[in-house]
Amino acid sequence: MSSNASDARPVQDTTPLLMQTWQLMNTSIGAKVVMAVTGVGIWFWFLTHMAGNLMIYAGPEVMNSYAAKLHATPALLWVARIALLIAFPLHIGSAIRTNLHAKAARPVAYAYENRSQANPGSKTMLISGLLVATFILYHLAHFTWHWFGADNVRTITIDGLQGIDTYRMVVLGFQQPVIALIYIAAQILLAQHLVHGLYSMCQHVGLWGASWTPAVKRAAYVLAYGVAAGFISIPLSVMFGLVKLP
Amino acid sequence: MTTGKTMTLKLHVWRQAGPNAPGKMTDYVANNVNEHMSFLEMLDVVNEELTKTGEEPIAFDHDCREGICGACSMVINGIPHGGHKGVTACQLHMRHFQDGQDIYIEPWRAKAFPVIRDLVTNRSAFDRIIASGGYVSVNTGGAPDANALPIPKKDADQAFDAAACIGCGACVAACKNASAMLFVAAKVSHLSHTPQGKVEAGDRARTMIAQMDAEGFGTCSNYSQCEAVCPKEISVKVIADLNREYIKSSLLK
Ligand code: HEM
Ligand code: FES
Repeated sequence: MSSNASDARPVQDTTPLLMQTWQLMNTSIGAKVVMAVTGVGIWFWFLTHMAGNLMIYAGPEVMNSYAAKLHATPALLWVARIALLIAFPLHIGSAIRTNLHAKAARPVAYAYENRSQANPGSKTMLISGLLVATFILYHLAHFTWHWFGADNVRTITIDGLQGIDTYRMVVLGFQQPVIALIYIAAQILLAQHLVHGLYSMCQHVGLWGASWTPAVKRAAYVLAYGVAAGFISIPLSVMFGLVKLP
Repeated sequence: MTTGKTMTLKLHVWRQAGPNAPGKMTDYVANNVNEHMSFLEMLDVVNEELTKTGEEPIAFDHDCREGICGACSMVINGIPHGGHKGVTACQLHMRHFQDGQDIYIEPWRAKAFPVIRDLVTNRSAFDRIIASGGYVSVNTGGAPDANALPIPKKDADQAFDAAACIGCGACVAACKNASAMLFVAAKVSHLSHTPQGKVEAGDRARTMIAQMDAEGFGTCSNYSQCEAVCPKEISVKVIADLNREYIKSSLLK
C-alpha cells in the first residue's frame, strides 16, 4: 500500500508566501491571473477618471475646485499613482512575456491562414494595449507634465487653494482638432481592448456560468463603449463649441 | 462504389520526409473523388495513385475512422478537422467541397507537436501531461459497488461533457497561441467533477499545468478558437473550471 501513485505529487509546501506568489506569477495561468487582477485595478481607475472628467459639464468652478481638492489630498493621489505604477508594468510585462511564449509555441506558421473563429479584438490585444500605453504617455506629457501646450496652463486660486485652471487647459487643448481626434481614436482603441479584457478576466480567475457568461460578454460591450463614449463626449463637445471658455 | 457525384480537387499538401527534413507544400490533383467519401478515403485514393507512380504516399494519422479515437489530425483550409461543427477529419465528407476546389492540408502546427512525417505529428506531449496527473489514485482491495457512491446528476453531466475529449489536439492546432488549455482543462474538469477525482483535484491541476508549461505550449488568451474547432464541442467553461482549481490550490497548498 505504500506505493501510492500520488506520492509523486507535492504533498506539503513550506515555501514562503512571497516566494509562492512569485512562482505562481511565472506559470502560464498565474501570468494571466496577474493580468486579470491588474486589469481590474486599472478599470477602477479608468471609471474614477471618467467620473472626474465629466465634471467639465458642470462648468469651470466645479471642475477646477474638484481638481484643486484632489491635488490638496496628496495621500489619495499618491495611493492611486503608486497602485498604477505597480499595475501597469505588471500588466504590460505579463502581456509581453506571454505573447513571446505564444510566438515560441508555434515556430512554423500555417501556409493557409488559420480561419478558426475568434473575435478580432481578442487577437489584437497586444497591439491595442501598446498603442493605448503610448497614448497614456502622450496624455501625461500633455495634461500632467505640460511638456507641450504649456501656454494654455494658467495658475489660479480656487477655494483658497493654489492650482491650475484645468477647465481652460482642457478646453484650449481640445480646440485643436488633431489633439481631439487623437483622444477620440485612443478611446475607441481602448474600448475594444476592454471588451475582450472584461470577459477574459472573468475567465482567467475561473468565473463562468452558463446563464450569465453570455451576459458578461454583452455587458462588456456596453460598459467598455459606454465609458469610452463618456470620455469621447468631452473632446467632441469642445470641438462643436458646446463646452467653451466662459 | 455507390452512386454519387464524382469530383476533381486541387490539393496542396505539406510533405516532409522526416522530423529534421525540410518540408514544403506540394500540389496534387485528386481525380475520381466520390462525394460520399470521407476526407481520409479521398486521401486513400490519392495515395493509391501515388503508389502506382512510385511516389511516397502522403502519411497521415488515422485509426478508428469513426470520430472516437482522436488519431486523425490535419488542418484543412486553415481549420483543424475542416471546420464542420463537431466533426473529425475522418467523419468529414467530400460533399462539403466543390468540384475543382483548392484544398490546403497541413499538420498540426505547434512546437510541442513536432512533425514526424508529412501530416503526422508527435503528440506524446499530451501523454506526458496525462501521466503527470490525469488519473485518479485508488487503493487496491475489494471493488466497491459502483452504485454505492451517489453522484449528483449535475456533476455526472459536467464530468461527462468534459470526458468527451478524444485528445486529438485540434485545440492546440487552432489556437493562435498554440495553447493546450482546452485539453488540460477537459481532463481536470472531468476528474474534479467526480467524488473519486475530487480528492486530488488541486494537486492534479498544478502538476498538469507544470507539465503543460514544460512542454512549450502557449498561454491561454481566451480567443475560444479551441471551442470552435473541438470535434467533441467541449466548452471553454472547462478552462474556467481549471483556472479556479489551479488558483485555489496554488493559494492553499
Ligand atoms: C484600463 C483597463 C484595462 C483592463 C481592465 C485590461 C484588462 C486586460 C486583460 C484581462 C487582459 C488579458 C486578456 C488575455 O488574456 O488575452 C489584457 C490583455 C492585455 N492588455 Fe490590458 N487592460 C487594461 C488596459 C490596458 C492598457 C492601458 C494597456 C497598455 C499597454 C494594456 C495592455 C494589454 C496587453 C498588451 C494585453 C495582452 C493580451 C494578450 O495576451 O495578447 N491593457 N488586458
Ligand atoms: S480516425 Fe479516429 S477520430 Fe478520426
